[in-house]
Amino acid sequence: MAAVNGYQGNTPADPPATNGSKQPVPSTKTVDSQSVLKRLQSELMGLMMGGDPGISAFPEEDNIFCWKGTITGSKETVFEGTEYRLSLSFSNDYPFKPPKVKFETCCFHPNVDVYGNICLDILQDKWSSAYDVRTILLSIQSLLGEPNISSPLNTQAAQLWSNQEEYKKMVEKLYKPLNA
Amino acid sequence: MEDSMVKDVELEEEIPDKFLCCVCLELLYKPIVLSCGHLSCFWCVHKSMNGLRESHCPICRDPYVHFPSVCQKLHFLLKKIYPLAHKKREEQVLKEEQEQDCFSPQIDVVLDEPKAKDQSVNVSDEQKVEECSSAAKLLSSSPSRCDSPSNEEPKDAETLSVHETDLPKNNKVSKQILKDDLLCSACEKLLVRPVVLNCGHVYCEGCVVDMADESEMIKCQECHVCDPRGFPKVCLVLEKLLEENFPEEYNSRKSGIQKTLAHSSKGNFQSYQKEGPSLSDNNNDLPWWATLGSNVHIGAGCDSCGVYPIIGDRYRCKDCKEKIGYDLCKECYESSSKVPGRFNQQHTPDHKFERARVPQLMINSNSIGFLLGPMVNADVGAGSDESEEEPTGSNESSSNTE
Repeated sequence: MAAVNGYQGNTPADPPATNGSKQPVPSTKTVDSQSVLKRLQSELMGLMMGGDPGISAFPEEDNIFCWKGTITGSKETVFEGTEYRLSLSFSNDYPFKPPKVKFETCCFHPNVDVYGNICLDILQDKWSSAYDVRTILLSIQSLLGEPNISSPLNTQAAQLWSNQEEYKKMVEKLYKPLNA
Repeated sequence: MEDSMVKDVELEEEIPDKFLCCVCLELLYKPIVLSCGHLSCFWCVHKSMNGLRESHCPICRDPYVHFPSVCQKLHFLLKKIYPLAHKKREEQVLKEEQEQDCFSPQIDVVLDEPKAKDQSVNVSDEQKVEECSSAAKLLSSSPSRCDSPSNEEPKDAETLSVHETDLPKNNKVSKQILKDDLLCSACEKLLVRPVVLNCGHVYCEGCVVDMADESEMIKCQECHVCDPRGFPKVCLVLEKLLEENFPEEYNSRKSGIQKTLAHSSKGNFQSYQKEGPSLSDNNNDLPWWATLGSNVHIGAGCDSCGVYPIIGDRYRCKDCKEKIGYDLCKECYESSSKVPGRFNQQHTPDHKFERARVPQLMINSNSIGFLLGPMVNADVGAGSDESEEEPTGSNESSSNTE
């Protein structure tokens, strides 16, 4: 047996099909997008029924492969009272590959860079095909309050983290409300 | 346009969460149970697997390297309880398979015995018919009706969908779960703490303990194939199904079994070797992927034991015409395995094999892309909390090899 469609499981990277003639040519994008579509529809349904506080997500008007999500900062963290918009874009390999997730709202956080890129293991090599939009947003929400200081994307934020009072001021200074 | 249909089906048959695949979020279709006891659809498991190194359960991250066979007991049970949703899934999956020209295994009672039939070239259609007839046997619903197609040659997909549409209606009467659907093939009683072996057969946990020989290998009593993995964990979805449908009998069986186990000398099965790095051969104390560079067959799995990817010698069938190919790992090749393919390959024992070379991907132009792929990604995640993890490590080890 061979891999179908060149899927490499939970590997985040995209190695080209390397197995000579044995590996079926990934020429079936239409089929894939059908099943991705179904899965995204189920997720949307679940999100609308679930009503998790502090997170929400919805596809863009004309493209179900691009979603906008929002998360609110958890209580008793320096991010309390702030709200962030994120973009999620899904490939035809979803859910076997993670979606690309970025902050659209500026977020002063040790693991988020100035472009909004997020450094979170489950969006990379710890991705599992059982994760979904909901678990991604919940993970990012908890990442806000529990950054990984040891390997920061934003060193300034990482250095300031130990001083929560100053940090909160910085968050408030840089924060741009969604509807402003 | 199809959406309304889907809703209708779902309204009529409310499928509990436990029977929804964690990957596609739909009714489990051709379910596969991993050694950790978690399950998803045939294709969902296969596509979630890692062609480069060990895979991890999507739910619990338990590492595994063997792609198990479909659990037919559960498959036919789901087909019986949710005939409409199941049929919908069947059509949907078949359509995807046809477009990819890769087919999941024909689910077929004959599969368990030495293969009776060998001709069959027109696999996809024939496969459906067989499934239809075997399902009919299992479901004991008007056998004459569904057995008939196996006599005549199916002409195309339409012919068979005509036969198949009869199934759901017939089954409506026998929708409830019978004890006969959930018997252990060893003790022939109601399953208790069910575990599913690599071959897809289901036994009581206690029966499997008794089946293990001195070398701690578990040999399936139905198909006589050894489970290459460690001791599988109880499949909680199946257990829940048993508890819900046969509460009294299940609980009395369970307490009975626990007593027996306590007295059994083999009672310490919990400490059986777990599947994972330590189980693979010829790599001493190194994690198995650390030595893979020279001889890992990326994206190629063994059709007998299911190990994926094959590490070490790989033997490829020269006569199987299917796109997916038929391969064996060294162990299975030497044990002259008679197992049909993990997909729908029409492999027969008289087919010839050749030793497959490890693709020379490390030196051709593709390989650069391949080697760079993960590294580029690692750069994006530079300074990430998982940067010390295996992707970079295994890259290094693979690049050393040529």
